[in-house]
Amino acid sequence: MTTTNPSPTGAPAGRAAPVRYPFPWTPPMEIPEVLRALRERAVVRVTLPSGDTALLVTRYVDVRSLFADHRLSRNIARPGVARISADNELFVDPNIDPDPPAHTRVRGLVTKAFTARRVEKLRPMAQRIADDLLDAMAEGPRPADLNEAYAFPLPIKVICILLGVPPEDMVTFRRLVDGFLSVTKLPPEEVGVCRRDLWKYLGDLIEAKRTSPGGDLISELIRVRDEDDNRLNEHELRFWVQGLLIAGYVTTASQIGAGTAVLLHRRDLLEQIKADLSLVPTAVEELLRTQIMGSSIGTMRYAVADIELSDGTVIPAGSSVLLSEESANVDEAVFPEPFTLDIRRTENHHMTFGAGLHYCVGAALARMELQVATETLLRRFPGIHLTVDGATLPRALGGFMEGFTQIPVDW
Amino acid sequence: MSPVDAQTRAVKTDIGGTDIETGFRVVADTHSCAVSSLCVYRAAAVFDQDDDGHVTVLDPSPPPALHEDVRRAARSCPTRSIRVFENGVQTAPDPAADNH
Repeated sequence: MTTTNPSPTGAPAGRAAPVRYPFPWTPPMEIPEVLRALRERAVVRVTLPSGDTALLVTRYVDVRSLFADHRLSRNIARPGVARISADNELFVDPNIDPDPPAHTRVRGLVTKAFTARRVEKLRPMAQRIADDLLDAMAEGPRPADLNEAYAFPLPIKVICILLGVPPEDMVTFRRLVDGFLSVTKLPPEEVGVCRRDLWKYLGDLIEAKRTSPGGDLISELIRVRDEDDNRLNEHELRFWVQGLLIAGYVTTASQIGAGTAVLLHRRDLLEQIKADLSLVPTAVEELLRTQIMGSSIGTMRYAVADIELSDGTVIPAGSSVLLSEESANVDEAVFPEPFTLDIRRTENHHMTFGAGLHYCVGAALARMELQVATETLLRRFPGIHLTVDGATLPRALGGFMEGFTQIPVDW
Repeated sequence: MSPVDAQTRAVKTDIGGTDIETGFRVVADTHSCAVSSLCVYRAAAVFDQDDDGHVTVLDPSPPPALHEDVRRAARSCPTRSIRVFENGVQTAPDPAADNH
């Protein structure tokens, strides 16, 4: 990669010894230390788990603007783009065009299922699921693992109902999705088996629904596809169902678990929220801002032209680019006291769901689930606490998500 | 003409007949909307979504009690599809933020 364009500070874009990315979560319960000085440069050259290098954009103004910039393509199946993992192609699919207008055409079929009105219709169902899970947790063994008792089954049950996926398939697809999202955790052969089995599982599911459709989103997408192949072809159908299923629970589940763990660790904040549950929505946003469930390796893009950033730094055409949501979210230029967890922060336009035309389609659903999960847990289990020191909780390593592997709680 | 003036003028041209020269006015671009739904959650009396989820403006001149919620909705929109004008000047989102 050539980085010959000088920035005003005299340093070429990203020309320094590359640092490893994703960054380590140290200390585990805090915003990572490495983020403090990161925005001294607009672009940092990073080494990915694959060994390839990419340019990491660090400042809010640039991250926000580049999320909406057509000169950054999401078609990372093209030759020359940095690989995230050496063992897993992750979201690379040469048969999918993730840029406008093809992407916009398909995305429009899906977004209508995630409007405020549709999401609010799901809220009572999410509430019932949360209550049922907590009933079961109360009668189960103590301490309980909050991940398995609550954080994972809640969004899984919601997305299963929304998509029309049989909940009893949970054990199967969770194992396959875990392999699908492996970065360094599993050897390439095992990743390959999981990817193939997941693709086949989804194909069988779609065929079953084609035979006996329901009122769910997959049946609706099948109907669109069977009416007009130009709006949605069979491969796109399966690819999007796969994306909706995976993104529909892994992210939210990791965030429910990790966000709750942070609150349980920070007793001072926990007591404030318990005393006033109307703080839950802003607290949820603040936990989303502080990016506790993952890095930004999923933002991988390819510069199809030179791009000048706000300070004059140039990202050369041909660069592989990552947009650092976690760094943008602690940018001093935008967030007062960015390293302070402020559960009352109202002006909180974080980049956790992205920006621009690729903004997370499920953001409203995720927010609703996070609010229901947090409010219900604290209301019904006011004595809930971690049974180990939060600072010792192990983070998930080697995968796309970096939540905690276990969250032992008692009440 | 400063970039901000140029941009404000461009927006005024875009919205055609809507009078944004006086008072508090909200305009939204259905075509660039990415269906975050944030505006509806922020100010449901002012914003709604069509069947595809794209933003629509229910009340282009909301009462003062809603002004700060509407400004915040404009600031939070991930595609900058909402603009607020007060006496002909864009007050949200910050026009300078679009011209780095």
